[in-house]
Amino acid sequence: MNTTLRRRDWLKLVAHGAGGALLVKQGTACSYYSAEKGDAYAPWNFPEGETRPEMISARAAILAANPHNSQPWALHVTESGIDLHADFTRSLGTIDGLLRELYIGLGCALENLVIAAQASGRTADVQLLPDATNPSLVASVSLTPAAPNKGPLFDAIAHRHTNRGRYANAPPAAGLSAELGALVTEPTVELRFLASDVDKSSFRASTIDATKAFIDDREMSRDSNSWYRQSADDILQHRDGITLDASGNGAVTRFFGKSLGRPSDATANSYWLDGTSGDQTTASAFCILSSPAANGRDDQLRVGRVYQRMHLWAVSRGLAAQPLNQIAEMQDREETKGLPPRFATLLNDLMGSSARRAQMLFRIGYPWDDALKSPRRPIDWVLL
Amino acid sequence: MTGRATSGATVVALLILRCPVLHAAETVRPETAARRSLPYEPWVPTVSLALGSFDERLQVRVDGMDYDSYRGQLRTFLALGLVHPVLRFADERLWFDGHAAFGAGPTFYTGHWHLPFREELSLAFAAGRGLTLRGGLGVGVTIDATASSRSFAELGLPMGATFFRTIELIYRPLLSVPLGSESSPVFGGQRSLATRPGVLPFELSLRYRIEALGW
Repeated sequence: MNTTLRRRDWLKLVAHGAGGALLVKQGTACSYYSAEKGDAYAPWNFPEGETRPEMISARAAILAANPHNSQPWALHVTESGIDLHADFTRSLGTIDGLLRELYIGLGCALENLVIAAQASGRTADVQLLPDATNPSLVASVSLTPAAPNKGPLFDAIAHRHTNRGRYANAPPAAGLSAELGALVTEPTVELRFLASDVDKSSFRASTIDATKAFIDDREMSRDSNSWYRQSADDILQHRDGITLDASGNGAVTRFFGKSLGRPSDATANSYWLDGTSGDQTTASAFCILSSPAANGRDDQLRVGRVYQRMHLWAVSRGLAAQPLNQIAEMQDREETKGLPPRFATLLNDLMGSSARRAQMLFRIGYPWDDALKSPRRPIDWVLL
Repeated sequence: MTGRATSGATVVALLILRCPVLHAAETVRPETAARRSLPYEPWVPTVSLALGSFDERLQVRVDGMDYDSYRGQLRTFLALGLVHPVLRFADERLWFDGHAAFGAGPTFYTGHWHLPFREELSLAFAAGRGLTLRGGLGVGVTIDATASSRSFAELGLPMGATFFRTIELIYRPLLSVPLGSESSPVFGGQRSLATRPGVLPFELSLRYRIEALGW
């Protein structure tokens, strides 16, 4: 891909420059803050001297991928085990009306927890949804002493960040599909690997369409932007959500974005659509993790575990990944509102079948730049 | 050389361009009178603000095949410099001068800090009372202070105008030559990121000549 500065980039730069100059003139350009600095990013210093296996596991869990960085989890930790709970107050509302993404995020946390337990000398015996009367308890993990099994996935936990920047214009290595496929050890989960030009083009076009539909849905747009954290104070207070630094935008855009104050929903949506139409759909391949059509919670948790494993593996091998779930989010929205299944049909086309349910969509490739960290709530905030 | 000092980087140019006729012309005129009549001060500090673009190349070697991706980004820098004499001709409206400069500034997308070090040789022509036109050749190196392996050498063609001996507007296309690359193994091959070798058509500088500090 030969990308030069486009006319639109120039106009944005001029607009930013003028806006920035105006703020400086008014003496208000003081809201800039450095990336990745402060207590909101401290959990990424992992394991940072922690020696208790159960706490290493818990601290790994809170570094997992999750929807909109909502971190919808709570943990009950004892020496002999960890209970992973869903925090339904942190659901994404209309974006995730079926709570599919919430459960996938919990599956991601569970995978980190298990990997860290094994690395710190524990076997982790996982029971999904152990108590039918307690829907918030999504997994119980029994920890028993064992020889430590520390591999590259554990080492990648603190370095795994969603990379929303541009990826190289290069095809996947010949063995990538097989390597990813080998990480799918859960029997009900399947991987659909889209690497041909035709498939990638369809995925890209459908994702852009879904992003437009998402933006046009005022409730979804509102619920999405409510997770946007603009200022350093916002980030420190909430330690969650979407931030400018993790957005994949360039340094000047981030600088003026921070300095100019919170954008309107329309402006934020416009940037998102620009990003999706450009950098955020560059990839060597797009992937879809699916479950049986029954769409059970246990399968969503398993999909989350597989995605987390794949992302950690990708990072350990110099690759980057980013969830691109807009089509699935619009499919859920159609279902909850009883709308015609336009995006469900698009997803089935991409899957090549309507017999399974697409759960998790993402891109993978060779990144131009390293991703910046997202804020995280400290372990103390999520312990029960 | 009649005792006139020169910067190290322009010595070679001086040796080539210096000729007996011009030397004679210089020696017959008292220095002070010559300075008073010249359209410039021989040594003048400068401060300049530049805006330019540069390109980067991400090369991924996958299964033995190379795949290149490119991106352009802007950079800006503030530079301090010194105009210094190189050569005068009998016609006082025409002369060669040099400009040595170093600067610092950020790149717009990656937020890296660039430190350009440059030397330029320009042929200047006093086209009017308040206007001097100039064009020449420049060499330099840009150190990427954030990732030194992404530094690059430059060969530039500065051209522009000086207004009222104070403000200069310089357009400087340049040829960039990477001095290294950031390489790392990736699944299936190797990833390598560097400045793209090639012509960078855009760089514009606004330069202020601090005549009051000239000598």
